[in-house]
Amino acid sequence: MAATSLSASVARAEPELLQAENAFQLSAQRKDAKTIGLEFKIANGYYMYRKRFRFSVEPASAAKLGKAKFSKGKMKLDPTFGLVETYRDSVHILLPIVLSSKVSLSTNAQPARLIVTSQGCADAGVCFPPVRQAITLPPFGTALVFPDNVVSTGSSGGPLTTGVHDGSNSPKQPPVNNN
Amino acid sequence: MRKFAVLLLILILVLASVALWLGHGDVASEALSEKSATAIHEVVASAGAVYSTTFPDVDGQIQRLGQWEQRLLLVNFWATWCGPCKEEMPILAKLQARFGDKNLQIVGIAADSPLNVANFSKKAPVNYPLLVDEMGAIQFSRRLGNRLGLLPHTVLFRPGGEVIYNRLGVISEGELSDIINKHTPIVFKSD
Repeated sequence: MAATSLSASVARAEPELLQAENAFQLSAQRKDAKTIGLEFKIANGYYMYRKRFRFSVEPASAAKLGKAKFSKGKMKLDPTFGLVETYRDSVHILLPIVLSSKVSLSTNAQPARLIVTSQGCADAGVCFPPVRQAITLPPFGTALVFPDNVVSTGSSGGPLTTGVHDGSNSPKQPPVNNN
Repeated sequence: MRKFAVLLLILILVLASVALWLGHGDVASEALSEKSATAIHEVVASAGAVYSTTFPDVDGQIQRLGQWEQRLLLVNFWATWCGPCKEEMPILAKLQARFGDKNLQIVGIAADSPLNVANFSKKAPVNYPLLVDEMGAIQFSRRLGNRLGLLPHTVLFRPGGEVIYNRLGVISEGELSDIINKHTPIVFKSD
């Protein structure tokens, strides 16, 4: 059976695209004792979908998450799903979190991680698969302070590289809504 | 004369500094371009591997791509959360209607949940099979040259497995029609 081949003439010239972690840069900040502030800086020519954000904690017993509050995006008409909310430039998220005391009792336990799943597209006419990024949470009883790093744990289908972002110099955030 | 030489030396130093600064700028540009990536890369899956690949359809029935080995097989990777993917589905449906009796078979492979695809199919049915594998679709797409796992991704196989079209982003109906026309048998109609 013939092997598949791809000559230069088969693939059309494509626009250069950023890796997902560069197109959508995540940083985390302490907002108060029970709230994490997340910010995605979105590169020019890229956008994110409001309904494609997911948050979880690993291990699940390490913390309880509240309902996330998002900054206001722009409504876009989707031919199948009607109006959908999208973000350009940036999106700010406030995520209530209550760390569990049970996990911190075990000194050998792996540090708990907040898993942020997001998904976005490029104006070039392509969409990225969902990306999972992990933020290490501080142990129970300590201040809610985050190391300035966000680790991409992979997308659906393959691993991504590690990104390092400084969340300490983020601009003042716009008001958030409760959707 | 000596004053002139000093001025000349200062001018040379300034020009050298400017050149060095410009050179540094080039290095920065190169570093930036390393972060981006040209979309389509080499296909690493053999024809045998492609045709032996299986995916479930919306009803959960396992479908083997090899059942279309003798057809001009157009595989379209998509998802319900991908706006550009949904934009091009009417184009794909038109191509299937136009070239279906000339050996073309379009197959959609969704990187999505069966429930999402089933709901989508009710709202916007298409005239070609839809297979579903939330994780496996992107992995398979990567093996066909889509290193970043972007959607939509469309690959056209000649009967036997040679790749003759490989495209990221929304397809061009005209371009794809021309390619399909070149690779479909001419049908003579008798009176």
